[in-house]
Amino acid sequence: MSSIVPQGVAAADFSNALDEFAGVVGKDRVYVDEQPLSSYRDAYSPLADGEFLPSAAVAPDGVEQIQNILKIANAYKIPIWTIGTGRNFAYGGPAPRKSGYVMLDLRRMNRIIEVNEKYGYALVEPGVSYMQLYRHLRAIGSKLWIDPAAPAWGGVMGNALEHGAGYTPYGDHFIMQCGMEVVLADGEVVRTGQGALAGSKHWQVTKHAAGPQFDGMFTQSNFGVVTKMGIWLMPEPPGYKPFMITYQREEDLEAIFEITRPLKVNQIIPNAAVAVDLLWEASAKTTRRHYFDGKGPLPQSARTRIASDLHLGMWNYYGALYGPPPVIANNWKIVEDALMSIPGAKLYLDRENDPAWDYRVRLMRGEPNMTEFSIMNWIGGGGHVNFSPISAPSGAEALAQYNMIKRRCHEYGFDYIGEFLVGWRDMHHILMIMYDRADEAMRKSAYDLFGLLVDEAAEGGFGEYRTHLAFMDQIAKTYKHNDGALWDLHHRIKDVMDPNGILSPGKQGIWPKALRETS
Amino acid sequence: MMAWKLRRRDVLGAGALGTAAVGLGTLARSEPGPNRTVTLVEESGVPESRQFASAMIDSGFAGEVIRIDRSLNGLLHELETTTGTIIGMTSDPAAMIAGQLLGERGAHARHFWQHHYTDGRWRHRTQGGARLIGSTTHAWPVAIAHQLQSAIGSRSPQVSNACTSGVCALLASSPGMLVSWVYEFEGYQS
Repeated sequence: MSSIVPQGVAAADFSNALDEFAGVVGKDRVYVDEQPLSSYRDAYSPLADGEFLPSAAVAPDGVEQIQNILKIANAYKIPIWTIGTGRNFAYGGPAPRKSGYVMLDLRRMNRIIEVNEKYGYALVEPGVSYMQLYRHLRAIGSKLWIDPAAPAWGGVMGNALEHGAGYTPYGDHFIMQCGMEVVLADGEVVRTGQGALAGSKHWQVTKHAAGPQFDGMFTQSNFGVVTKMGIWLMPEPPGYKPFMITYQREEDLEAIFEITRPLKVNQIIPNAAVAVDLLWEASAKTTRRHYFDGKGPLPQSARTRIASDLHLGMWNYYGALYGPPPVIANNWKIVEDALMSIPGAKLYLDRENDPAWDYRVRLMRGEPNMTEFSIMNWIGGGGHVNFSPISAPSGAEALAQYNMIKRRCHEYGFDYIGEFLVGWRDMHHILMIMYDRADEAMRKSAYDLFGLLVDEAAEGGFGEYRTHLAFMDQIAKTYKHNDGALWDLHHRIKDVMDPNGILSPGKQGIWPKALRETS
Repeated sequence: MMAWKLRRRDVLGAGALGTAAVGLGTLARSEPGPNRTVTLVEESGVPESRQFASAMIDSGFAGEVIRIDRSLNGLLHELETTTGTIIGMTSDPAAMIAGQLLGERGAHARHFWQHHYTDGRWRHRTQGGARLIGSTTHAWPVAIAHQLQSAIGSRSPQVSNACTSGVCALLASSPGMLVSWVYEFEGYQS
């Protein structure tokens, strides 16, 4: 049995709580031994082993069981940490924010409750993965697409709640969610939007209803346990045209996004187009040690050789057009003329034996896959943590952010491995800080680099849209307009909705009152 | 991705035959018992994984083979219901995914050996007779296959070892860091 007990909870009380949890879900669904609990570790953590370990886990199968678990947690003031599928490994995986929490593992709640072909949506539970939904749609003969995040085992609900992104026109997952069912800390069940109307048939077709919208409040937060969520699904288009364009110079980034912005804002390019740097792209097909076996960032000569060997650019731009073929043909002319105007640009409409092309093309047409994990082979040892600042879709901002981050990566001995993904009016910049997790010094450097980048980005006016557990507090503190008024609001809501502070304490830097002073 | 059933050899000495073929002598390997299901994961795009898998298959140790391609999707498809003993030599990401999927279903990690290419040599962190692996260069996955069979069958505590190969090139499609791993579900322990 795990020797860890939640902070501030007497061992006898904890033991009683575990017995009572077992009374709710059955003894075989309360995990206390080291082996099952080890699967809640963050396999790629930038922290030393032994950080962020749960004391136990409990796996309910439905809303009523969750209500009873919360009742017990409130009685004993047990902190619980909720996961859907627990697969966001660049941001902490299934691990809790602090050691000792009890995992509320919702993976058994993996029912696809409804697929509506006519209106294009699904209603899912927290444990439904992209691959599961994809297989289900294919099995029932649906003509609806999903929009998966890069790893196929990610959760449909969890990714949307974390403001995750995909690569089809439905790539902003929170925008595409519609209607939630939430269990509040006191056990009350609430449905948002039209779901609040008894007998409503429109829960998943509109976000709008009388009164305030609360859906956003349950994302990246700890104000409730979301148990059902609607997600809009894109009807399979009659045509699909993926493309890749390579650009030869790092500074082309500025022109790329100056050209992209009007194409994106006007929906000529409807999907989340992405500019991928040389090494991210190369890492899907080779490793660093094939070109350079020394320490520090890759020399320019090696970068040039990689680009030549693999027919890549310093930036590699992926996008796709969708719709009736005449519409695609018309829009393609505009896209091609614009994006190929940068000197040295090279267009690909197909690439043979290229796993990076293959997985990007699949993602842009809604086919989940696990290929992106293979880029961890670049270093070996697989550790990575994603630094994810937001910018406007502006070439100058993108280039400034890129130069600042690349310089710091090199100072700390890391390669810059990143991509820029274009949203409706924003860009997600994803820097993958990759390290060998068996190399303690390298892991420590990755941690230090990340911390520095958070502060420097904030000074430059760039905030992160999502982050790893270890940096949630630091990032929360960068949102300091009017003396941190927004996080004060979060805390005021937290204190009212969860007075015992049982739900995911510390999630996104939102702590219950009792832990705010010690966190 | 492909998966199919192979007939597990009834000839219990098949493992020793494979061992002798790479000049390692006789190993005290376990013999697959009548109730033990051994599933082998081969990452087909990785040359070392293919070598390892061939050695395992040739020695009759594996009852089922799961072949995964570069998408790694096969891990999701195939490890949902697999029981018994599951073994593989894969890239580190594939090992992580397999470990996560199997661990969540209650499998215990029995062995986790690492093979890391640096400075023109393979460095192995294993258990058992390190010297035997150190004497190999490109054939080391075969040696690991037989050593792992021995370790699975051994009832005595395994001694950790580290060793380094002779100078050799890194194969073009090798990830340069591999893990040989064994997971086992309760009730299937040797």
